[in-house]
Amino acid sequence: MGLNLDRKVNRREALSTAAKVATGVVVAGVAAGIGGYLAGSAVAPVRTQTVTEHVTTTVTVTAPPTTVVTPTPVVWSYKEAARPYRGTTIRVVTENTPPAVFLKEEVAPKFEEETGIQVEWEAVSWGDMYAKEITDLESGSGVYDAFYVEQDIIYTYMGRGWLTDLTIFGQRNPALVDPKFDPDDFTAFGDAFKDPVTGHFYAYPFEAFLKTYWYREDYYEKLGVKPAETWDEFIELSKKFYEWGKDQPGRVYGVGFQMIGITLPYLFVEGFFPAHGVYTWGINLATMRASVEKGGTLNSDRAVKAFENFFKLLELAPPETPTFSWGGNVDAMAAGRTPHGPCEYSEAAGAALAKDPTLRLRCTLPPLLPEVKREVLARPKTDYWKAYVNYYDGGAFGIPYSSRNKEAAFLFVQYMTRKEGSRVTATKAFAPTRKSVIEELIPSDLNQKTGYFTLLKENDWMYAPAPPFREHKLLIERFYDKWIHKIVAKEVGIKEGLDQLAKEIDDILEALGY
Amino acid sequence: MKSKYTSLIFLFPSILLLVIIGIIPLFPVIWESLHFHIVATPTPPSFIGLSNFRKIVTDPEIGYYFGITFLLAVLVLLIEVPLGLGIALLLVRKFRGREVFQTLFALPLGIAPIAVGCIWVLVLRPEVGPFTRLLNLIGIDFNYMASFWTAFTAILLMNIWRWTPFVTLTLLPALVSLPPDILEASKIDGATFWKTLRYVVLPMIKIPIITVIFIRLMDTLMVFDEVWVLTGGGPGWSTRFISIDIVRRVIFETDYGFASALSLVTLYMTISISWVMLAIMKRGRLTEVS
Amino acid sequence: MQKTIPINILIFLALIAILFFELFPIYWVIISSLRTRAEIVGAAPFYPTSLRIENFHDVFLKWKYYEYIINSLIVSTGNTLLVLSLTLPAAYALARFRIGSARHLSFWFLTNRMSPPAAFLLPLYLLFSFFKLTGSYPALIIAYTLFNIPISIWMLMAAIESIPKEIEEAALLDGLSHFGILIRIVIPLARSGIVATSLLVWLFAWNHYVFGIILSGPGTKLITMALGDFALTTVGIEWEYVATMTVGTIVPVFIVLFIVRKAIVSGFAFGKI
Repeated sequence: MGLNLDRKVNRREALSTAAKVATGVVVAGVAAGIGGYLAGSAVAPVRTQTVTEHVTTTVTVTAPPTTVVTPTPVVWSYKEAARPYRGTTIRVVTENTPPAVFLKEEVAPKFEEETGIQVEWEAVSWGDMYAKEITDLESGSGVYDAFYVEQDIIYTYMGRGWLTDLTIFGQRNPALVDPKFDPDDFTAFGDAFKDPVTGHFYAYPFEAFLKTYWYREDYYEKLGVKPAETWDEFIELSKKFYEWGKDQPGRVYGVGFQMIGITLPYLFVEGFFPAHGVYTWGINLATMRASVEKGGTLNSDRAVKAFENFFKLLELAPPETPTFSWGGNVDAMAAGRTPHGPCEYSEAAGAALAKDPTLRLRCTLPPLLPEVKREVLARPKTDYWKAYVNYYDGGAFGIPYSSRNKEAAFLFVQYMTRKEGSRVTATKAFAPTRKSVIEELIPSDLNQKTGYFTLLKENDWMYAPAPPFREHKLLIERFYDKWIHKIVAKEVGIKEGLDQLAKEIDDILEALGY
Repeated sequence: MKSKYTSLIFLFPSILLLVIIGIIPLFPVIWESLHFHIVATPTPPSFIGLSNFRKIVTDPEIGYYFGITFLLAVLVLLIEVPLGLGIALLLVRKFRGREVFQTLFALPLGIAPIAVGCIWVLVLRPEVGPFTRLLNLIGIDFNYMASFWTAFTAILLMNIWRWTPFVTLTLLPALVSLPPDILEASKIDGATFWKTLRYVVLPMIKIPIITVIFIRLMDTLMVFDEVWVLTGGGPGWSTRFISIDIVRRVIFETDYGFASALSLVTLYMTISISWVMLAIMKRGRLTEVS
Repeated sequence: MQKTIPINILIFLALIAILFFELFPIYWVIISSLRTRAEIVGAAPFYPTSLRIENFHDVFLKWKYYEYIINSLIVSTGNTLLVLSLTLPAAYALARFRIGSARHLSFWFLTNRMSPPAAFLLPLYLLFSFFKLTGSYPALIIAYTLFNIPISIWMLMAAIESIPKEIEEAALLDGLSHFGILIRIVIPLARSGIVATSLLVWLFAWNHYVFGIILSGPGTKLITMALGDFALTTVGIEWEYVATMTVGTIVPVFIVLFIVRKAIVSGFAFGKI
C-alpha cells in the first residue's frame, strides 16, 4: 500500500464518495422532511363539508302593477359575514376547563356548520396551553388564531402588546361585527379584559365564576346550623362537623381546601388573604411593594391571622387534603367527605351538580373578618381592588397579534361569547359572563337550589379579579409558591416566612423597574 | 484504510447536525445567561454580567436542587447496581424458562419514562392505588405526597423498578461469558462464594460494571418525565430536581436569563462528570490489558 | 448435593417475586384501563373486574387520538431513518479509519447523549423558533438526533468492529471505494446489529417527552404529550383515561420489543451499549 498511490486514489475516491454521501444524506433528510409534511397533511383531517346554499330568488310579478315585490333586506348573519372566509381553518387552544370543553363540543360544531370556517381546537392542560401560547407569541409564528386568555395573564399579554384590540378591530371591520353582540352586557368581570385607559376590549370573556363558600345544605340541616359569616364562626362550625363526622359512615371531616402544588399559593392569594383583609396579594398597587414598611400588607398581622386560621382548619381536614387539586374539596363534598369549603371554585360545584343532580350544594359569601366586611361595603362598587371578599375567576378569548386569520377568528370569538354561548357556559358549567343570562337564570331550579345566580347578581361586585400584575406568573411561581409551601410545611415560622416572602417580592419588583 | 478525506466526509454530516443543534444554539443561550430577561413582562432584557452564575453558586436553594439530584443518583447506584448484579448472578446458570424470564423482565425497559410516571401515579395515589392499601394492612400509613422523604422514596422505588432490569441484562452477557475454568479454579482453591465474587468475578467484569454505573449515573442526573408526573417537584419544592427546576423556569416563570445560566452550568457539570468517568474507565482498560 | 435443592427453590421463589414486582404495575395499569372511573376510585380489587373496551374506543376512535399515534410514528420513523443514514458512515469511519481526533470526537458525541434534555430545552427552542419551525415534524425529527446519533454511532461501531477486516481489505485491493465497501459489504454483514440499533433508536424517539413540550405543536402532537395532558390536568384527573392512554403509549413499544426479543436475550443490544 504505497502512500503516493493512495493519495491519488484517495482524492478521486474522496470526491466521488463525497458526492455520494452528500447526495445520500440530502436525500435522506429531504425524504424524512417531505415524508413528514406529506404525512402530516394527509393525517390532518381533511374535512369536507357539504354546503347547502340558500338561494334567495326574488320573484317579480309583472302582471298586476299593484303588486310590487321588494328584495328582502340583508340581515346580518354569521353565515353571510363569514362568506369570504369559508374554508379557512382557525386554530384555537384553551385549557380543558369544563366551560371550554362544553363550548368546544357543543358550540364549535354549530359555528363550523354556520360559517364554513373549520376550527381546530386543542383543549389541554394549563401548563401545556401556557407553554404553547408563550411560544407562539414570543416567536410570532402565528400558529394560533384565538386562544384562552386567563384573567390573571391578560395584563402580561397586554403589556407585551400581544393581543389584538377587539374594539378597534370591530370598528375597522364593521361587516364582521354581530349587531346583537352587546359588550355592555358583560358582567363587571368583563372590565378585567379592558385596557384601563381606553376602555377597549382585548379579549371577550366566556367563563366567569366566583370563588366562594360552598356547603352541603343537607349536612347543615342535619346539624341545624346556618352558614358562618365570620372566620371564628366558620372554625367553630368546622369543629362541630369534625366531631359529628366521627360517627358518620365513612367518616366526615370538618373542612377541606385545595393544597397540591401551585393550588396552595392560589388558595391564599385568591381566598384566605382577601377574606382576612390582605388585598391584591399583599402588594400595594400604588407603591408596588409588599412589605409593611413600604406600604404593603403581605407580612402584616392580618396575613399572619390568615395562616393561623388556616392551620386551625387544617387540623380538621381529611388526611388526603394535601393532594387536593383545584376542585378536590368539591369532589370531597360530593362524596360526603367534607361538609363545606371556604374558598371553592363555583365551576367545580357546577360540574359536580351536573354529574349528580341530587346533590344539595349551596353557596354564600365567604367567611370574613368583621373589618373586611366593613371595608368592602364602604368602598365604591367599581373600585374592587380596594377591598374584596374573594376571587372572581375566569377566562376569555383573545386574538394574538400574530394570527393570520384575524377576521375568521373575530367571528369565532364573537360566536363563542355572545348570549347563546354564554348561556351554555352558564347552565352547563356555572360560568355566566352576561348580565342578561344571569337575569334569565334567576328563576331557574338551579338557582333555587344553590342560590348561585342570585349571589352573582347581587354580590358579584364584592369579588375581584386578579390584580393587574404583568409578571403574575413569575411572582406566584417563584415566590409565593415557595414560601407558602414552606410556611404550611412548618419549615419556617409564619412571621419569618412572610417577612422573607415580602422582601423577595420587593426585590424582584424593584429589579423589574417598579 | 487511512483515508483522511473519506473519513471526514463520512463523519461530516453527523458532526454538522450536532453542531447545528447542539453547539450553535448555545451562543444565544450564553447571551441570555448574561442578562436579566423575563419574557412575560414588558421589562426589556438587561445586561447583568455574571450575576446569574454567582447566584447559582451561592444560593442555597439551587444547591439544594443539585444536592437532591446527586443524592438520588448515589442512592440509585447503591441500590440498583448490587441488586441488578445479584439478579444477574441468579440467571447465569441456564435453566428452563430463563429466556421467558429475561423477556418479561425486560418489559419495563420499553416503557416511556412519562408512562412510567403515570403507572406509578396509578399505583401510589391513595385513592386509586393498591400500594397504600397494601401498606395499611401491615399498619403503615403511606401517602407518598406527605413529605419529602415519602416522595423521595417513591421516586427511588420507581427508578429501581424501571432500571434494575437494565443493569441485570447488561451484566448478564458479561457474566455468562466468563470462562468457567477460572471459577472452577477458585472453587478448588477453597474460596467462598463471596470471595470468588469479590476477587475473581468483579474484576473480570469491571468494564461492563463501570459502563453501567456511568450510564445510570448520568441518566439519573437528568431525571425528569417520571418525577414531573408523579410529584411535579412537590410536595412544595422538595423534590425539585435540576431538570424540573430548569423546565419550570423556562415554561412557567419564563425567566430565560436565569434558566439559560442554569442550563449552561448543568451542561458543564455533565461534561465534567463524563470526563472523570471516562478517565476511570480508561484506567480500568489499561489494567485489563495487562 | 442435597443442600442445593432448597437453594434452587429459594432462587426460583426469589425470581418469581422479582418478576411479580416488575410486572404487577403493568398489570395494574392494564386492568385499570378497562375499568370505569368509579371502579378505580373505590377500593378496587386486585383481580380484573371489568372489560370496558369503551375506554379505548372513546380515546382513540371517538376523540381521534389515533392521530397522535400516527404523529409519533412519523417522528420516530423519520428520526430513525435520518439517524441511520447519518451514523452508518460515521460509525464506519470511526471503527475503521485511524482518526487523530477520534477520542475527542467520541467524547463530544458522548456528552450529547449524557446531557439532560431539559438543559437543551431553551437552546433548541431559540433555534427552532428562529427558523419558524416550532411545531413541525422536521423540528422534532432533527431535535431527537441530539441523543440518538451518539447511541447509534456506538452501537454501529460495535457491530462493524465485529466484522472481520479481511473482507474489506480484499475489497479495497479489488478497487472498491470506501463508500462501496460500506454499502455492499459492511451493511449486509452487520445487518443484525443495524436492525438492533435502529429499533433502539426508534424506541428512544418514541418514548421521548421533554422536547415535545416546546417543539410539538397542534398538527404534530405526540402520544407522549397527549398522555401528559391527561396526567397533569389540574381540573379533575380522569383516571381511567390516564390508564388507557398509558396502555396506548406502551403497546406499540411492546410489539416492537416482542419482535426484537431474540436480540435482547442474546445480549447484543445491551452488551454493547
